[in-house]
Amino acid sequence: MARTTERTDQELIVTGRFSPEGVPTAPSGFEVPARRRLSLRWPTRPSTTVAVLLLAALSLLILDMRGGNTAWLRDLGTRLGGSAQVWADERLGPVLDQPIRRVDVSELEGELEQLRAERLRLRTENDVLAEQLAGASDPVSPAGLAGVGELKQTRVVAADTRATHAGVFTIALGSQDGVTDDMAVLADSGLIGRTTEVGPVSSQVQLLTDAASGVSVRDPRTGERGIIRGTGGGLRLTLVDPFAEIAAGQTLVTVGSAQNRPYPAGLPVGDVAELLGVPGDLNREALVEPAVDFSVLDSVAVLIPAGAVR
Amino acid sequence: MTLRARWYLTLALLLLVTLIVQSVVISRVQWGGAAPDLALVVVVGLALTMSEDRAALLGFTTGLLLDLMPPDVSALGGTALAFTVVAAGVARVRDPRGMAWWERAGVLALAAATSWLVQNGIAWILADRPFPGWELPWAMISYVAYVVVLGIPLLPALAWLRRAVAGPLSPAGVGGTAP
Repeated sequence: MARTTERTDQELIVTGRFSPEGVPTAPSGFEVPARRRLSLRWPTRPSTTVAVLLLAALSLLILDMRGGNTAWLRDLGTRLGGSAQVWADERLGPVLDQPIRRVDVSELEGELEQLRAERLRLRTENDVLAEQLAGASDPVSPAGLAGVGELKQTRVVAADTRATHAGVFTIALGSQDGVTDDMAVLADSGLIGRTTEVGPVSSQVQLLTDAASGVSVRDPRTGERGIIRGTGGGLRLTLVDPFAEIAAGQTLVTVGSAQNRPYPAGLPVGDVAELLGVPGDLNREALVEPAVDFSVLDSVAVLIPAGAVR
Repeated sequence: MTLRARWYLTLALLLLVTLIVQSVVISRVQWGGAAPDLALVVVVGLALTMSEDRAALLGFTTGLLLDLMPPDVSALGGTALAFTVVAAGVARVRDPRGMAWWERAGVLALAAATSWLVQNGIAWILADRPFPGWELPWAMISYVAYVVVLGIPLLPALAWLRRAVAGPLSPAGVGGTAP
């Protein structure tokens, strides 16, 4: 028989099934408060466990920020977490990309993927050749990409959603694919960042927009150089020469690094959007519109330099 | 298998699935400078049914796993600290059973705002991350709104899971005797 009774000592109404003698016969998981009283248990004696945990978290935080030996913990996270993310993305990725499919388009998708890779390869080759034509100081092999390296296409499998303007994400290529630290990562229209921590099947990519990121660039038209730094959400150029002439709308390309790591020369980074200050200012800066839309990154490629190709 | 063992196993699986879904699926839904924080909702939902000590332990563990989960933007321990504070605080809510939706929303909003401020405050004060300026209120409001919208339906579901797996909450022990 079902009935309701009141337990005034605990201020609860218990609803459920009871025997004729009044003994509950069903779990009391249906308890609801008689008078809803949303209040805090305060003040109470401080909990030792909570204090210890807070102290542990704070200690770890300070240890990590002060350059303590936490690299092994990050490496463990990259290995285990990255593998789990790649595994989950392989199963969930297609579902997330195309929730409703009325026809089998796997063949078309494969072809599209090949065309994307080919387009990216050609565009990169074109940029490199254009850079050579403009008289780059550190020219790469005339054979184009053959002298620069190999592009390996992959997917973005995870991003950090906790930090404002997260500038790091995970891709599904790791050391097993020949990826190591400090390799350029590209999207269709230009450079997006470089690999940082590398696990067996996944790597972390630091975006150009990350506040800790910086890349040397040049204006291919005038040869003026500068450094582009991430601002968290965008890019800001600081010119080396405060009297340099640079025009809005001008595309900036990478200067290039030794052995093409992290960046080969000639990769487009972005266009000058707005010049700040006047020629002669101590810090002549400009806002830069990235060549890549960072909010819709999905398919990217890692440039594995020729010397590092396995 | 005892109720306690069954509950801990369920908890471990729930955390694992939450971490994967958070980083692989929810990370694709970013709008307004923030994204839904499923992990925080799960911590809040379970902390409401636990004692302060166990809630803090849950918050610390979940936060630490999130810190370790790639890609790791923030310093290790930052999320663990924020989630420990939030979980211990939420566990102090007396008798959460039968909470109205607006009460749940209030608890979630307070928890989200605290977590957001602690995590980003650490980045601004101790690390070199730039202060976001005028984007600050908008990003925080987006984050809180995501957590509230996600949490209002999920909180009762988590309470149900807790009852279904580990048995009913003890009247004396809302936050006192949960396994």
